[in-house]
Amino acid sequence: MIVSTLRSIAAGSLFGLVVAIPGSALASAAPAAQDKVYVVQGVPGAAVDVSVDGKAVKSNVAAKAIIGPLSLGAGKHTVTFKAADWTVSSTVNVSRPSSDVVLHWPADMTKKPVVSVFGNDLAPVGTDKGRLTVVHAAVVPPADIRVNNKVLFSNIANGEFLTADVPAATYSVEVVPTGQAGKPLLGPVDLPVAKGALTRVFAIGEPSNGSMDAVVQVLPVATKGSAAPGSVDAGSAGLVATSTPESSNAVSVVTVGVACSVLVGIGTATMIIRRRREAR
Amino acid sequence: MRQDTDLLLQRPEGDDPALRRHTLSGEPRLWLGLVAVRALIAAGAAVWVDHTSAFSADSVLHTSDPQAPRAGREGPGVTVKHGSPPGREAIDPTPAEVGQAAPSQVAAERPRMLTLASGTTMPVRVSATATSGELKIPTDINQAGWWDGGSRLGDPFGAIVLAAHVDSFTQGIGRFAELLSVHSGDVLRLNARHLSQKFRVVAARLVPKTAITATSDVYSADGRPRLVLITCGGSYDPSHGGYQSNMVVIAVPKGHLTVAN
Repeated sequence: MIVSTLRSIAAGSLFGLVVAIPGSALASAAPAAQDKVYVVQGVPGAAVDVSVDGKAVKSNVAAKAIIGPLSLGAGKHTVTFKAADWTVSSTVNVSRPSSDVVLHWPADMTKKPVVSVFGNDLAPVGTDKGRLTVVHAAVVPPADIRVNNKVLFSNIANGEFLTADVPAATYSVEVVPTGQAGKPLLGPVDLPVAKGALTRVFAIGEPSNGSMDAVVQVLPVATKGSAAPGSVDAGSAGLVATSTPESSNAVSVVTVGVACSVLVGIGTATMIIRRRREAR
Repeated sequence: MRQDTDLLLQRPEGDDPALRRHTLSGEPRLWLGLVAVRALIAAGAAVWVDHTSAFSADSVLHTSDPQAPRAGREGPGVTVKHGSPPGREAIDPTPAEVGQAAPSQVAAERPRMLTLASGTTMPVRVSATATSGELKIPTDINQAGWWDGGSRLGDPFGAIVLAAHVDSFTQGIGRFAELLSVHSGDVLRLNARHLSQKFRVVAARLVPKTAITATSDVYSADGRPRLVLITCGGSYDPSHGGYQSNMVVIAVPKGHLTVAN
């Protein structure tokens, strides 16, 4: 299901955003009780051999591939990426139930790729919401993440991430240099954020050679919170009642709604009243 | 059935004058402002939210200077040991950097204290919806209940819903009674463990209880962040469940979210 919804990302992507989710990643529906590590290959154009603690894990791994989850156990491990003309080896301290080990370019591409570790926030998410995390792993200066044409996440630098719980929906997402709307480094792309899931987006690559891209990873998380109320009974004594009893011939049924968006620019009221007849 | 959009253009006939007394001044705009939006909603349709304009400057999650440039992750440089055979270079593992949240990250929190326009404060407890559909709010009229399925302070979207009793037989008139005479522009404050946000009242209305359902926009996770306060009011009919109406107050963020440690 998740894979199929994510295909729409690739279809609508300006940069050919490709979703790389191994089946094993999707199989981890159970709450993470062990140390699950995902290895993200975030260096476009490179094919790397991945080994952990000296043991080969997978060879010839293309950009945007996600390996795992690997159950490495808590503690320090050495993860090595070997490409044709460079080798990067890093010690990774596994301390969280779920984390991503990301090979990516630093802000300065004249150096070798680096390895960053990001914890996955698998805390329960609210009713009807999903969690969106954007990771900056690209050769671009600090960036804003614009969602539906407005800045949602501001000033995120290479090696950093931002996260928020948002309503489950498909969002138009683009990466722009901080404070510079209209100059997208990536996107806009349509990004579905599923209910009860952590959607992680890794922005990778380098704009000058056209290798900017994104890797999307979706992990299930539990939901919390009760359903929307059908009624709120918030008084009992009649001490503040209006003098005239509300007779049952007041036939209106009112639907109260809020559509604040229209009124943002107006700076005025936001309540919608919709009425219809109730047959009694 | 009448067209909903027509009804937006006028006050409802038979509107109880006593109820009108509780509405805000300038409320015709409450009715008129959203005709365009509502026109898109078919009769009986539930919720529609404009994603393209759901954000506002207020919803941007920045608590530090958003424009201050930062270098970002620097590479470690080449760590090839000299003297290694070609193609078999020995690499000293360098510690992987632990990815950090950007300084603008806000960790949303459930509200813990509400300050009303009068300055009166109310502790906020967690309230869940019972299987009956009723929101189980604190029986203490001095406390408010936060619907645990709604948004939190710091969430970029959606309604933060608080409800409290307007009165009780044992405690008398409650603190939320002041909502019955709230004014547009009144300032409220919501505090969480680390976060604090002022809200400005933009709408208030007394509506029949049957008007608000689980699919009403007042509970929506969508749309710009907003504070929704609910209590009881209107006429009182002990033989039909007591108060016949809910007072609903909508407030939107005023200024930036502030973070304290």
